[in-house]
Amino acid sequence: MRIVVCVKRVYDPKTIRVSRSREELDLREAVKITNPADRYALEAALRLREVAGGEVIAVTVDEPAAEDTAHEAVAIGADRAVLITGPELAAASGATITRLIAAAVERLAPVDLVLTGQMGLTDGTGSLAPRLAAALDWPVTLDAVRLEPADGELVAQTRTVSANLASRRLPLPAVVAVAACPARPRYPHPARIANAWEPGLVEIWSVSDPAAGAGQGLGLEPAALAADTEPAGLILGPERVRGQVIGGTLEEAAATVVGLLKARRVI
Amino acid sequence: MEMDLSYLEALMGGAAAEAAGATGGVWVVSAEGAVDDGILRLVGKARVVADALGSYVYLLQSGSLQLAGSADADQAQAAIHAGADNVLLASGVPTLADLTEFFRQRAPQAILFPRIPLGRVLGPGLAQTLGGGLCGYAADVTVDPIYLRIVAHQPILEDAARQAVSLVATPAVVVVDTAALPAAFNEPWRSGNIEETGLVWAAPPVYPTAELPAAPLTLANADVVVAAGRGLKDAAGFALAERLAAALGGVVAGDLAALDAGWITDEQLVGLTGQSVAPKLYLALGIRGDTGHLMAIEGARTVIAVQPDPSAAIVPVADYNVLADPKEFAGALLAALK
Repeated sequence: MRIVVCVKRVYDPKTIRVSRSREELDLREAVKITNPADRYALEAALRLREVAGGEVIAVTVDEPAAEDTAHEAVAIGADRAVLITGPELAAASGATITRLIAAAVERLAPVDLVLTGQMGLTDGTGSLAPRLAAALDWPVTLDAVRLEPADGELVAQTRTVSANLASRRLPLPAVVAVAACPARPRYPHPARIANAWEPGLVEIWSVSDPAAGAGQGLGLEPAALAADTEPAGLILGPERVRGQVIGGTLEEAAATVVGLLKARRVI
Repeated sequence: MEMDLSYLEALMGGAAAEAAGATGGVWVVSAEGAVDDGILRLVGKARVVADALGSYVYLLQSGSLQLAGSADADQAQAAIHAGADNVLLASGVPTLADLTEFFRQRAPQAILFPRIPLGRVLGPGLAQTLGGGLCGYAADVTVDPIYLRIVAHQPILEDAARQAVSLVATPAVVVVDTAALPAAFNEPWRSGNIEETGLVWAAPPVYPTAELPAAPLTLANADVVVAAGRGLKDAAGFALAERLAAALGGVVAGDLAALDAGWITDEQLVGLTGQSVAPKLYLALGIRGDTGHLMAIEGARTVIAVQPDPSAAIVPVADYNVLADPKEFAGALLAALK
């Protein structure tokens, strides 16, 4: 079974500050980390490989600095990794990134399964898996917590709204978004960390450069890279005010607190 | 000779000429089950958006629905009272290919999906097949008054802020968390059309389900932490904290005083020598707040502190303070929660 795992970097939310005066995110000290949700997807892929054999390939679409993330995926256990990069990516939309990954999946054929994380940690919307399924015309399932191969098909246990498990049989090839699940992502073995930087384990493909060498460019037209969305500012809620005192009798105060809990959707 | 519309299009943000035969409109897709409150809220939001665009609201309602049944006719009527101009009924659950074909013929301006499993799959898929702009997770939808574009408000950083995303490409596809929307309209004077499309899509798939063993609530994953401190005085006071935690669906914790009293175990200790917590709500009962404790609750979204002393260290740190005897207040809060 050949499994492609989509990994990406996100800003570590602990390092992002929100600037109220400028009404924007202050990213000067922000650090990018591998999306934790994608590590669950990688873990699911490695467990599948342990059962069914085959190959796990990590794919990431990002600037050249993301090569570390590709090496990290190899260190954790992927057989190899592909970094798709290029200056055109600066304004790339979700649709474009989807098409790039779909093109990479076609080039890596025959791929049986594409795994993604459920959602980007900082600003994710969880739209990559359904987008990829649409682009590849493959079946898709979200919220998977456990994957098992079953004679040429895949049995995905997914979390339902009522917090039950639904067991779903998917014909392969398929796209699956993996939710945070009991299978905790493993840490890389030190020896694998050392070996992950050996040449040949991470391939770097160019987005559109036809001169990138045989089989190295994905050949996407510049017109396909136009942005379909643009940021329109940051909306900040009311500033947190500490030290407020709730007055009144005990019953009045309790009623006020219940109102606060309802407004915050705690109850 | 054809009129040069380029200047007008620049002025109108490219919306001057609408495709021939297109109905445009703001669509809400309810493809799974009944018209529930979430769908009605979404229809209300679509109404507001359509009014700003000068457009109509369409609700595509499918599922195991037959108009003959009076309950379903009532549902369609409820959607019209909530703001829909047209309710289109189909049977079965559409696949992505079905929906793509459906919307190719109708050239919508915007398509809104509720953030349910089916909407999360169909919304992004539709944006990919139709080449539209997408916001896969929005808490609100507005309209840019200059360019007449849909603007989705996407929660980021666990809803600490919202990123406004202007959807340039049409159709604008937005997957909306309906729980975050204001209450649905119910305006009986509204009228609209109910149309049977005659479309029959595949029956909804049924998957075998199994009970998921519930993950045990811990200090790390609980949304609500009720912390007990010296001010609760005795075991009966601590029992109130436990009952409050159960009533709020959270876990009980405590400070060093609670540990010393034997009410809690090491694992439940919040503080410098215990654990740091980051729940949505931290309710501190009878805790004055030493430095280590206050450091450990820095990540909490809302802190409510109940203790009688206005000069206690926790007062300026907590979002809300109730300056009262924590035992009495816990009893009053339990009564108010019932």
